[in-house]
Amino acid sequence: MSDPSPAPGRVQLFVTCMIEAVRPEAGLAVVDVLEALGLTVDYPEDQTCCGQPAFNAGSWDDAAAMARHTLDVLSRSDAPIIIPSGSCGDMVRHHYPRLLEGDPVYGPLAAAVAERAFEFSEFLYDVLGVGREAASPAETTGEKVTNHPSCHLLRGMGVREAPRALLSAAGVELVELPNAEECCGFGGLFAVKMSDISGAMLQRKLDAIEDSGASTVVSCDVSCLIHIAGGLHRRGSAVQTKHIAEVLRP
Amino acid sequence: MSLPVPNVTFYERVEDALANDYQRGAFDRASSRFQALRRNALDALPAAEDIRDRARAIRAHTIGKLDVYLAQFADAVEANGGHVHWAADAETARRIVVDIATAAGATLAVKSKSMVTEEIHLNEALEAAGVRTVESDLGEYIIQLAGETPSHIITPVIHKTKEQCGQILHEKAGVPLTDEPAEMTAAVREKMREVFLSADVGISGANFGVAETGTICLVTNEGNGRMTTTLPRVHVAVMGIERLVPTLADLSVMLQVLARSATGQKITVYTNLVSGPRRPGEPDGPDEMHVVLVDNGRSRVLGTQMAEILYCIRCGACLNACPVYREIGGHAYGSVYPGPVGAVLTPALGGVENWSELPQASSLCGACREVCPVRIDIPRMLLELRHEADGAGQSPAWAGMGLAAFRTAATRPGLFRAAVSLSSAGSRALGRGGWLGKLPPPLSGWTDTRDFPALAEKPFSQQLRERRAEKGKDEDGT
Amino acid sequence: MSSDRDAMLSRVRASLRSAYLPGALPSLAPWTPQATRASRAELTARFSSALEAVGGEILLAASAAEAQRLVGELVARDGNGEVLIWPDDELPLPLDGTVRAAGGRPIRPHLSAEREARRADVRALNRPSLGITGALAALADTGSLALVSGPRRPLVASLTPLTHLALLPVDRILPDMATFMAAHEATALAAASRNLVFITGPSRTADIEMIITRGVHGPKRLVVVLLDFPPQVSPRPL
Repeated sequence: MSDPSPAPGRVQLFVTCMIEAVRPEAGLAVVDVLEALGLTVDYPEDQTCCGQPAFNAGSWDDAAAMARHTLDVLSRSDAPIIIPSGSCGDMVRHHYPRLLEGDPVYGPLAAAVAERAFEFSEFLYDVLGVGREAASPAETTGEKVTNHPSCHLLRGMGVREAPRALLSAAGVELVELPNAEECCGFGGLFAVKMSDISGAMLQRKLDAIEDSGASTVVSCDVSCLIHIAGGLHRRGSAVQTKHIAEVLRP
Repeated sequence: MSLPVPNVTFYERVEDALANDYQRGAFDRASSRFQALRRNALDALPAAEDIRDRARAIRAHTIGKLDVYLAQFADAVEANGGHVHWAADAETARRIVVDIATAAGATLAVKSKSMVTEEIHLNEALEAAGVRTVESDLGEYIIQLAGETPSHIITPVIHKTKEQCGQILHEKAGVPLTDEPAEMTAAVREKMREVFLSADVGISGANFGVAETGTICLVTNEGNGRMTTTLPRVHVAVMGIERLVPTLADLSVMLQVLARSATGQKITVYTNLVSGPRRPGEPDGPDEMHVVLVDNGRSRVLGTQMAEILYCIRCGACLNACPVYREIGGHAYGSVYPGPVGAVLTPALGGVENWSELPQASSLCGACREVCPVRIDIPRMLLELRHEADGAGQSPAWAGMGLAAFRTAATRPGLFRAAVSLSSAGSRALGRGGWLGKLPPPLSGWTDTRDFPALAEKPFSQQLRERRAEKGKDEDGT
Repeated sequence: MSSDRDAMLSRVRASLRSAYLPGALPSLAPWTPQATRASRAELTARFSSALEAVGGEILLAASAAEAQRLVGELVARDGNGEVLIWPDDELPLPLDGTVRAAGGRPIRPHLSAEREARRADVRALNRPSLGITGALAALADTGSLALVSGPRRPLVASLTPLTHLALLPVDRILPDMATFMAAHEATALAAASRNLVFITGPSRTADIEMIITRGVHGPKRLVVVLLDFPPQVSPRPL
C-alpha cells in the first residue's frame, strides 16, 4: 500500500451518469466530503457517461466514442479525477487504455487519465490517508451498517480495505455481510438480458443483507445500490441503501 | 469445430435449472464446499501466489511455442514406442480411435474420465462400430447409465441425490437397490473390475502431456485412470493439443495447484505418469499405446484474442466461484464445458453465432479470474466474444438501437441533459412514490423481480450548479 | 501420417502469428521452488501425518525382524491365499519366506504378449487380495509413495488387490515432488520405464453427494511399513 502523498489542492469530479440521473444526493455527499477535506472540487459540466454499458454490450465503437468525449472533458485539467463508482473507475483505469490502444491522440490521453483517476474511497484512503485510525467506541453513531463490496471495485480495481476502514473510522457499527464478495447480480444490461439469473443472484444478496441485521447497506457503486434498493423495495424491506459518501459526510 | 447445439434454447435450459430446487441446492452446497476446500488448501501452501504465477508462466510459454512442444512431445512418444495420431477435427479423431479399436479386434473399451472424448462424441462412434464402451469413473458411469451429460467438470453427477444414483444403478445395471454410497461403491467396484479385466482397449484422456519425455499424466482419486492404462492390451490417450507442459519439473508445479484448486486436496490419490507402452521385460502395462492429438478448433482459437483460454488446466475452480453457475448449474451451458471456462471455450470452439447467450450470461464479476490457478482473464474474453457477436450483427435490435442512441446523446452534452430530463419526467410519470413496478419491454425483465427507481427530479449537475450559485450569492451578498 | 502432423503444426504456427498470449515469454526463467530443510525424523513425521490424513496406515518397524513380523500378520489377516509381490531383490528386505510362513503363496505376475494368454493372465492377477511392493521414494508434503515400473516390478501389485502394502525405508522420504524429479532424474526414468505413479492413500471418490467412500477401483487399504534401521542390502540405483 502506498504512503499517502501530500494532498492535492484541486480535484475533478467525474460523477457518473447513474449518480447524475438517479442518485444525485450521493454526488452532493461526495462533494461535501471532499470539500470538508479542504479540496476544491471542479465539475466539468459537459461530462456524460464513461461508455461502460456500450463496452459491456460489445459495441466498442460506441464505447470508444464516449470514451474519447470523456477523455476530452477530463484532460483539460491535470487535476486528479475522483470517480464515485468502482465500475466506472475500473472502466477508465483498465479498459480505456486497451480500448484506445493505437489511437495516436486518445491512446496517450487514456494512459494519462488512467494514471490520475481514482475511485472515491480509494482516493480518501490511499491518497489522503483518511480512515487510517478507527474511531473510538465512544464515537459510534449506533447505526448498523453493512458494506457490499462491488465486484469492479474489489476485483477490478483491487480496493479491499478502503471502504471498511473509512466506515469504521466514521463511527458506524459495521456488521458483517455474509458472503459479502458475491456479486449482487447487476452486471449492467445483464440484469435485463439475463433477468432470471440476475434476479436469483439478487435474492441471495438480499437474504444475506437481511441476515446481517443491518439497517443500512452501503456500497461504493450506485449501480449495485439501485439494484439492491429495487429488490429491497419490492420485498417491502425497511433497509436503506446509501453510497459511502452519504455515511461519511460530516 | 463441431460442438452440437442443443435443441432446447439457453433460456429454456436456464428456466428448467432455476425451477429445479434440489439441483439449485446441490450446486449451491457444492460451490460453497469447494470454495472453502480450495481456500484452505491454498492458504496452507507456502508461496501459493508465486506458484500460481509460475503455473501461468509455464502454460503461457508453452502455448506460445505450441508447435515446438507438440513436435517434441510426439517425437518423445514415438521414441518410447508409442504411436502418435494427428486429428484435425472431431470426426477425424473419432475415426482414428475407432480404427485403432477395430484393428485390435476390440469388442469392449473401458474409459477413464476424459472431457475431450465427450467433446468429440467418441462413445457414440465406438458403439456404432460395435465396440461397447463403458465409463469407469463412478460419476461418469452413473451419468452414462442415465443417458445424461455431466453437470460439473470434477463431480459430474453432483446434480443427483444419492437416492437417484441408487435408482439408476439398480434399474440400469442391476445393482441391488440402495441409497448408501458405500454400498454403491462396492457394487460398482465389482462391476467395473469385470470390465477392466475383459476390456480389449483402455481409452483415457490426459490432464497433461509432458513434451520432453512424451509422458501422459492422468490424475484420479478412484484408480480407474491406472486400471484403464495398465490392464488392457491397448491404451489410447486422447488429448487436446493445448494440454502440454515442457518438462517433468514444470509438471510438478502444475500438480501443486491442480488438485488444490479443484477439490482442496494436496494431490489426488493417483498421479499416473505413462510414458509409452511397456518396455521390454516389464511385467504389466499395455503392449500398444497410442496418443491421439485433437485440434477441433483449438489451433484456430490460438490465433485470436481468445487464445488465453487454452491455458486452462480443467480444475473447475471457476465453476465453483461463479455466482451464475451456482444458480443455473452445468447443464444450462449446453455443452461439455460448463461454467466460466465453458462460456468462453464453447463459443470460441463452436462459433459465437451458435452460442451467443453464453458470453452474455455473466455479470463480469471477476470471481473466476480471481480463483483461476493460471490467472486466466475470463471476463476479458467474455467482453471480446460480446464484441465479436456485436460486430457480426448479433446484438438484439433494441440493444443496438438503444446504445446507438445513447452514444449519440453521450457525445453531445446538451442532448444528454435533454435526454436525462425527458427520461426523468417519463419515469416519474410512470412511477409511484419514486418507484416503477413495471418497466416496458424490452426492459421488463428487470421489474419481474425488482422495482426500478424513478430518475431524480433534478439531476446532480443542476443541483450542484444551483447550490454553488446560492453560495456565490451569499458570498457576494455578505 | 506425417502430412497430418505437418498440416497441424503449420496451422499452429500460422495462428501463433496473430495470437494474443498475455504472460507468454519466449523462454521460462529458471525456477527454484522453496527449499525445505528438514531432518529425516521431521520428514518421516510429516510423511506419516500427511498419509494418515488421507486414510493411509503407517506401521513402524525398527528392525528387519519386526518388519517381517508385521508383514506376516497382514498376510495372515488380509491375504486370501495368493499375494502379488515383488521379488526379494526389488524389495528393501526379503519377504518371500515371510509370506509363505504366513500361509500365503507369492505370485509374480507377468502378462503374456499373446492376446488370449494375456486375458487369462489378467484374470489370474485379479485373485489376490493383497499386494506387496517397495517404493522408489516418498514425498513428505503430500504423503505420497513414488513407484516406478521395471522388469521385475509389476505395478499391478499396488493396483488390483484390496490391500496394498508398501515397504519404505525412511531415508527414501523426500520433501516434495520437485525434489524427487530432480534427485531421481525423472526424465531418464520416464525414458527407461513405462510408468511412474504417485500413490497418496487408498482409492476414494466423493462423486455421490460429495460423500467420501473408499476402495472404488484401486485398493481399499494402503499400509506403509516404515523401515527405520540400517539397510540390510544397499539401495539399488535405477
